Amino acid sequence: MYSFIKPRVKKMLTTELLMVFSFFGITFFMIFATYGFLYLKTTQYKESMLEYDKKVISLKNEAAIMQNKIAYIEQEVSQAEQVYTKNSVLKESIKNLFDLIPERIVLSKVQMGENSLVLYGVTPSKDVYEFMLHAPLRSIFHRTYSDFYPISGGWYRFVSTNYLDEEESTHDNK
Amino acid sequence: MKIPNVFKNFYQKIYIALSVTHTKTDVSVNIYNGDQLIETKKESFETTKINNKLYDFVSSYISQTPYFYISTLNISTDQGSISTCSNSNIAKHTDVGSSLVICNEEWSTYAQKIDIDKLESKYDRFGLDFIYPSIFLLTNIFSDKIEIELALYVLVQDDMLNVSVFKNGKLLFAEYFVLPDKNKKGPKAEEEIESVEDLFDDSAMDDLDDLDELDELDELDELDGIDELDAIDDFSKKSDTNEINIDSDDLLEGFDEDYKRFLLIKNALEKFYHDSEYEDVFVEKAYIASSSTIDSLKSSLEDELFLSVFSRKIDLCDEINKLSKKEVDSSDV
Repeated sequence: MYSFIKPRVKKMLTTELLMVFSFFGITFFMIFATYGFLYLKTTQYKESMLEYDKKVISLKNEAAIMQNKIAYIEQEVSQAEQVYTKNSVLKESIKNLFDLIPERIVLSKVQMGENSLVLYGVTPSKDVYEFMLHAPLRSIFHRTYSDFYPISGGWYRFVSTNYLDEEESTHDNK
Repeated sequence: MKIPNVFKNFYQKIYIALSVTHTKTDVSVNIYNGDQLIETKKESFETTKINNKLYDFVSSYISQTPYFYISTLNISTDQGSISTCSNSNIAKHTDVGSSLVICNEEWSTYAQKIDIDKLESKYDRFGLDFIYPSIFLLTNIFSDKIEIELALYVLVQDDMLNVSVFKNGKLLFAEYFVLPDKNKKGPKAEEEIESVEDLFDDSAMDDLDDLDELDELDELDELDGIDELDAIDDFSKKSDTNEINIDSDDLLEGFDEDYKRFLLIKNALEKFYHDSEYEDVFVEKAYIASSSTIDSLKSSLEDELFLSVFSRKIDLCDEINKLSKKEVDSSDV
């Protein structure tokens, strides 16, 4: 040491350099801040897109489930309509059947099948049955069989079995 | 945080030395790129203070790099060097409390804090990094001789003289003289000496008012050789530093500058030989560093004191800058 005083601390950065570094520092900061902001927003948009995609898939699934439910309900409606139609037809058939039965003949039992009709009852005579019941039955059914059992008072218990042939029945439906 | 050296190397280092005399200020600028000196600029200003020209000149360089070092010599009268670093011995020469002391291994040099503060405030417009005592300049110039030879070493400036005796690197004796301004005369001039830059301590000036001892300088003219120095009474045992006031009795008036210096060197040598405080050795060689031609001084010393004189021509500012570079390189500031 040769000097009575110590040298002043030398700062590497002069005022001009500090200004230059400040300028570039601020510039880079703004660039990186903008980049960071955009990156953040992009990330947020991507996350939103993923969420929306998930929602779309979820809604599609729900829509599919709803479609299935709608199809099932439509099927039920269709079935209900069929049942209702069948019932209506059946009701109409029964009404027609009872309209067909003459007042002098008393039915005790009716068995209705898909293509068959079995009537149990009593008739005052075979002729009454023959003319008043058997004739309209033959016009409706393809095959008609009648069995009589005499009971007291000259009356006859009868069993009338009537069939519609399958092919002809289908053809008739058409 | 310490700046890595690799970054420092991107910058030039500029060393600016200020050498102030009574009438002018010499400025030398050395610009280094690494260790390579790439530019030197010297300028002399007819001022002893900071005028605008001087300020602009220095500012034009210090604005180029943050690594600039401005240095100057302590030219106050109240300074000196002694051959010990012991505080008790230093206290015999100066008030330790009000002094700044630099110990250089076995010897030390001191200056007054107030003088250093004055110097710093004088240059506060651009500031100072180093203030050197002149003896370090001398030891730096003759570093190759001081370590191995017993000799008288003299640093000659326009208005300053440093006389030292070294023996194998050990300081035996040192005197520092400030020569009065040769251009100023009379009481008015003395007032101006006091006022100019306030460099001279008032107390020192008071001491120098008592110039009775200087009457004996008349006898020096009559000396034929070093042997007759014994015939003269002790010249002075007051201080390591002396300023010769030519206004009081015009003792040295009429002599040329070299002869004044010769008388001062002779006086210093006489003190060294006769004061028991100093080691009893005989000096045969003298090494003189001077920025000006000193042929007559050299011949006077050879003829009248029988010294083998070797002189080196120096540029004081360059030497100050060399010292600054050495300081900076060693301390890595």
